[in-house]
Amino acid sequence: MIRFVLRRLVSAFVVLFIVASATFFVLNLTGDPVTAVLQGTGASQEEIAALKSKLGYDRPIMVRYGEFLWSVAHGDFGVSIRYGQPSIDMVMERLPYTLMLGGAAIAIIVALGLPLGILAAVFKGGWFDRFVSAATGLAQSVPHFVVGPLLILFFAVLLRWLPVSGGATSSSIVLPAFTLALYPLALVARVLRASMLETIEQDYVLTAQAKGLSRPVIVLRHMVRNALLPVLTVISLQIIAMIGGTIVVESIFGWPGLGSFARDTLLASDFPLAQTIIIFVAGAVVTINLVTDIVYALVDPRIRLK
Amino acid sequence: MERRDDRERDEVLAVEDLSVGFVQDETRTVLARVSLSIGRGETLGLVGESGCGKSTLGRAVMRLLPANATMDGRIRLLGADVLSMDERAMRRLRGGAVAMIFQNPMSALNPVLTIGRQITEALETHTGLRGRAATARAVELLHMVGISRPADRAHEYPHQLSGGMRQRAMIAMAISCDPKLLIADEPTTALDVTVQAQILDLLASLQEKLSMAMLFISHDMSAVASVADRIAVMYAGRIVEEGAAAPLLRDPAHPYTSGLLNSVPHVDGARRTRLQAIPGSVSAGSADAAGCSFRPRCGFAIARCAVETPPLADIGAGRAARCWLASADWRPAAAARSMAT
Amino acid sequence: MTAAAVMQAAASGDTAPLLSVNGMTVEFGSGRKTFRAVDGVSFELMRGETLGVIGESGCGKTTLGRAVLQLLRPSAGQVLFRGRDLARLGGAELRGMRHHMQMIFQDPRSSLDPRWTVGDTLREPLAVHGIASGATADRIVDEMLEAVGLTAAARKRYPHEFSGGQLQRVAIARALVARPELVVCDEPTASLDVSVQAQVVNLLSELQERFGLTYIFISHDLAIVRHLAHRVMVMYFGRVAEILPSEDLARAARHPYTRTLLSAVRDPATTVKRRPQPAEATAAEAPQLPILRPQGCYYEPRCTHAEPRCGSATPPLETMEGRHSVACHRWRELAREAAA
Repeated sequence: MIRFVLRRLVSAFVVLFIVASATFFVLNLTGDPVTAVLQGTGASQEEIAALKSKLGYDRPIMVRYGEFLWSVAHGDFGVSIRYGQPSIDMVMERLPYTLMLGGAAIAIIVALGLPLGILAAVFKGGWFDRFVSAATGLAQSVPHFVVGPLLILFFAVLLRWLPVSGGATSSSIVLPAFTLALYPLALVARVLRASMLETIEQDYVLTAQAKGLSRPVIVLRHMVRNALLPVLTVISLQIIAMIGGTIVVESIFGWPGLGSFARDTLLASDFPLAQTIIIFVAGAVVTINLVTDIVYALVDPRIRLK
Repeated sequence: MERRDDRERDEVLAVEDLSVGFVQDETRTVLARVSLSIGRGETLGLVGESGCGKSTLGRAVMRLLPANATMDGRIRLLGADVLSMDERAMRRLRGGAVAMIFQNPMSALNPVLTIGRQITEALETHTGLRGRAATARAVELLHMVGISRPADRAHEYPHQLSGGMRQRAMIAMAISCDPKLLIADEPTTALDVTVQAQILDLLASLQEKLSMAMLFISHDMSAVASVADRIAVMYAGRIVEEGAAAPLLRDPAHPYTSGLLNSVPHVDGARRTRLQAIPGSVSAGSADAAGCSFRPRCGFAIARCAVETPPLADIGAGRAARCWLASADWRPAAAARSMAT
Repeated sequence: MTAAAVMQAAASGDTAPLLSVNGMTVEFGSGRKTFRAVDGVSFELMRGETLGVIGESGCGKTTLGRAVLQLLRPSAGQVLFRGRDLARLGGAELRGMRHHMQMIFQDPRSSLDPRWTVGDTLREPLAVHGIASGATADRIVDEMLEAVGLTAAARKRYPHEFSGGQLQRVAIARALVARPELVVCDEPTASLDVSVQAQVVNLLSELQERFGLTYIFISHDLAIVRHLAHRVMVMYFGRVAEILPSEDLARAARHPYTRTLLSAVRDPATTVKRRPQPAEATAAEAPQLPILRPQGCYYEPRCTHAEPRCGSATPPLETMEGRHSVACHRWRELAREAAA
């Protein structure tokens, strides 16, 4: 297991290196940031050229690439063109908010999605199953930019239970987390229900019945763990997809995280900042995949991590 | 009256006129008025091809049929009436006084639980054993079924064991709570021939040690022959022949039993000759249709076979056959020979 | 070709074998994890002959069948068929040979496409190999369906409309419609009911006579193999343990493993209820998956006749007499013991 993690860490660094390089070249080959930022601001050609040479953008690209790698390896991700601050500091300031939002969403997915899926399968065909099926169907068909405003309208404006936006109070996380979690939650509940119904047909469930075990024991001990295996993949992919979701959701709710920030940055062609954010996102994806593999091995003894 | 009581006390299982149907759009009868009984320590071999209802019968005894099954008749298990029992009492029987093993030990064992855990959970359910005591008993049981290094094996998962070992672990689980009846549903079918022999030997020895009765369900006549005291042959949801094992196999009275025995080549028989196959295949009709269900494939069928279902009639020497022609001295093999000449 | 003709052809020695396999090895995986499923197997097969291949699950018999047909490519050795080494042929040349060699699988339900009618399935090989199309193809298909005991009406039906036995007939027709010479039958009766098995065994014999087919018949059922095959090849963990004429099987088999397999065959008419034995006596450890051992007889750990050299030197496949070969260091002593 330790050897597996070490090997995966090595490959994670390779992935990050490739992502960083690719980002650097894609951004720098599309044009230069100084022109992009200053164009239309009334700055003269001379001023733009001066800033370019001050920031080093007039040098050959390979030289800048080497410099970029060297400084990134030393934790220096460059200075934001727009804000004039070290980009790493700006990212680190907002990252905790996004992690909190994501964590809250994952907690909601697990705490609601798993029981809904299990109970729907156990009471297959009953009113609860039909309710879950209708509710998850609805949840899966409404996009974030519709759910978000609706939730704001209902819980913040009409009922005044929760704040409309921002990240000032601890209750302000509830609405964005729910908006973010809704689609994955519905998907997880559906996949788990289907997986449970497949598990019911398995011989070992019959064996468990023939042992005289009670229904809750059979469901919890014998079925859920096996049924969870395909769901793990879905959860993992949905968490990765949620990274994209934070851009929309944070914007709607004015959440001071990395998502809304990333949108502004990319739109503004702030290269150093954009590079930093993309490298962090890649790091997040690599981490999620590693954690998924470890969780898989913990749930399924047939998987040996080598 | 007194003798009847004696017999009842000695009976582990008595099935009387059991009919089972599966409801799907319309009801399809898969077992039609089946009766059989198993005495203390006795082994009844239940033989038949796929779809004849033999597994359904085994599961009906444990009341483990799917929700769309209808059951009618009587099942008396250790003196208790299975069909009227409440679920809690039924659960006490399952895995306790009556245990079951299945065809494919790989799929019948839970892949994510250790062998030991799967045994201890049965012990926890039916005996007072918990924790260390239960684990110790599980290791003892694994040793009893011939698994070497049982203490290590208890911590292993099913996929780490060979096919034969898995079936042994299944058996250890089944005998963990001293069952009076073991229902073995095709326990050797998925195993290699040399392993089959070992498992059959194991079952025979455990049966004697634990004085346990066994319902041995199989399509394999030779496997049944090596464990059964009595044999019941099923065809399309009905028992067509029943009797003591050796005479039934040596001298079958029903054309189907005879056909089954003749259709397999013998390892010391003639080579590259035509095997005596039974023509056609099992029809998919309801088991309670009028007439003999084997009639379309039978070389001896007469007009009566199409309209009236023959009863499972006594043909002497403790044997019975469901055939209009069957009698104390009519045998299909001899009849076929005289037809040929 | 009749059995007598085969033996005559074999005895006269002037007929070249249809198939000649030399030192065929099939490996899976790579590096230290290489698993050798078939390990240096050699045999010859005469036209019209049936070679039965027997062994327990994991012995490599299915891999052997597939490697002969190049459905899996062997990592070493020759497969000479119709004078060409199939193992050396590339894609296009190999495809040109395909209609001469076919396979019948264990489970017809999974080997036939459920969305194709029987007619579609049977016409495909004719079209692929450019043998026939249109009305000619339909006529050939109908004849083949009739040959396997089905009616022409079966042409328009789908696999799910057939019983297991009928479906295996369809699968046999599919294999034979392009008139191959060599057919590998991989457990063709194992998924069938006992009463239907015999029908398929009889059909395979009939078709062999009628079309002059050469079979490799793979099975775990010794009685069926003995019944159908001219010669039986016993495999153990990828190696040939013994190969002998099937009429000699019960009497003259010398390899301890062959004898174990023979003793495991139970005949229902003569079997009596086993006497309980002490559980320990039945506790023989099941064979483990083979770790690649550089030397020694693979059967040695289970063998009751083993002696020290069995664990250190691999026994060669030696010819005992005529067409009987055995891979056992002690076959001479065992033969003497049996004679005494």
